[in-house]
Amino acid sequence: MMEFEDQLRGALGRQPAPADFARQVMAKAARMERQRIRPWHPWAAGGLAASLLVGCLGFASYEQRREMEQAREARGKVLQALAITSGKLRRIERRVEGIGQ
Amino acid sequence: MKRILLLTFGCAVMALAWQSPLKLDHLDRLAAKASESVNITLDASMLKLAAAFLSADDDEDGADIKKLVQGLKGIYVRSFEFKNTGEYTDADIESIRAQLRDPGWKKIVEVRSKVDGDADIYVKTDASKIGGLAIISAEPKELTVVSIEGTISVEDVKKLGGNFGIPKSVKKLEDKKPEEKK
Amino acid sequence: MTASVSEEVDFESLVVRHQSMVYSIGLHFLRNQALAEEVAQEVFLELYLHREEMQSPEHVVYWLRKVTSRRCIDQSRRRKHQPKVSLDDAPEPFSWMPVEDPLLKQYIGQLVGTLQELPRMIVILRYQEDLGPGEISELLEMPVATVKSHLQRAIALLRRKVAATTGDEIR
Repeated sequence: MMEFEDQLRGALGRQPAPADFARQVMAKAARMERQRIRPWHPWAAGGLAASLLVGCLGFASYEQRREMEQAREARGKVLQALAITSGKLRRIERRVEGIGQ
Repeated sequence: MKRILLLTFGCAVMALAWQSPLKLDHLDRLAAKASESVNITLDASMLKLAAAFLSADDDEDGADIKKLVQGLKGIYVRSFEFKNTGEYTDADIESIRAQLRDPGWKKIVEVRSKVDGDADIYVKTDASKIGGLAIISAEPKELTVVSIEGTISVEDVKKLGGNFGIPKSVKKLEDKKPEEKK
Repeated sequence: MTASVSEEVDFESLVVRHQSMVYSIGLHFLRNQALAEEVAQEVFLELYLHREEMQSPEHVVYWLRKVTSRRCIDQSRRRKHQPKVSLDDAPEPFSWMPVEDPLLKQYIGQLVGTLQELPRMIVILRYQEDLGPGEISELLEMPVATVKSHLQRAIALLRRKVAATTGDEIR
């Protein structure tokens, strides 16, 4: 049981966050802070236009994310297939060795 | 002239047989009887997509697997677990073995057991390289067929075989000079 | 250094210190890099709004784990895209044949991602964060006995799944 738990710990080890993660968080926190201090301004229309642009870019990035998800799914299937192959090869190897003894 | 045409046709068929993946679709009906089943079909385009993300997590293992996958043209897995014995027939397996009798495929391991079932490993040879790997594992309550198409080195097969190593027959095949492998 | 700049530096150092923990919980739970990053960012932005309430470094860690767990579970329930393995199929324990295999490690991570939300989060908190059942029960606001039961059945199921893939027989 201990060895499987070690395998689990290995599989679930902490991974590093993306390189610019902290910078992105700080940038968003700063934007939140600015919006909190200035809830409304006469040139909010410019802000609205900027938001629409960000929305469009967001859609483009949604498509990218969807493709990333498909790629991730394909990656998962590759890993599963290789794990099954690996397992079967080892099992057959053990059977062959067992017959030889 | 007729002989030349027949010979050309024969070579083309052999080449196509060598190139095309194994037909495994007839096994899909077994999913309805299985308590668990795995159906994986990854052609070259899906493998390319997957390879782009295999090292996305800066994971050393992901990079190794990416390298392994990059030479492949297809990975096909059909695996079924059954609650009872007798849920698949000899005919189901024989149709796959028949495909593996084509030139280019070589059976390197054959295990037969009335208790634990049968197991076969085939490799597709191409001079000094392995151009494909096929595994048929037919146990009383489980049937697994794996077909891997594309260039796969012995090192990669070793990795697939894990710490127990590849079957010795594959290692011997790799060590032989090209002319001895025919 | 002004108070606000000092606060900003403090907050940024909090993010840097704990980003791996928060991101990893999301990544192992959601099995999606982009979503894990999105959830992790939301968690830290929420922390930013509540930073005045933090009483100690330990409180920050507790708070981050709690909020990350909750957001991950909510996100997963909204998406409902992962296939689930029912804990009712969990078998009796069997002996484990240890094999060190990088492919297996990746596969185990994937299998964890197919568990139902609560057992999945419990396994992650146990084996990524090394938390005991008592700590997990506090974070997830559920009885300790329930945590232990989920954990035991999830481990048994994962072991069976891995053994079936590697070809090891259940004894």
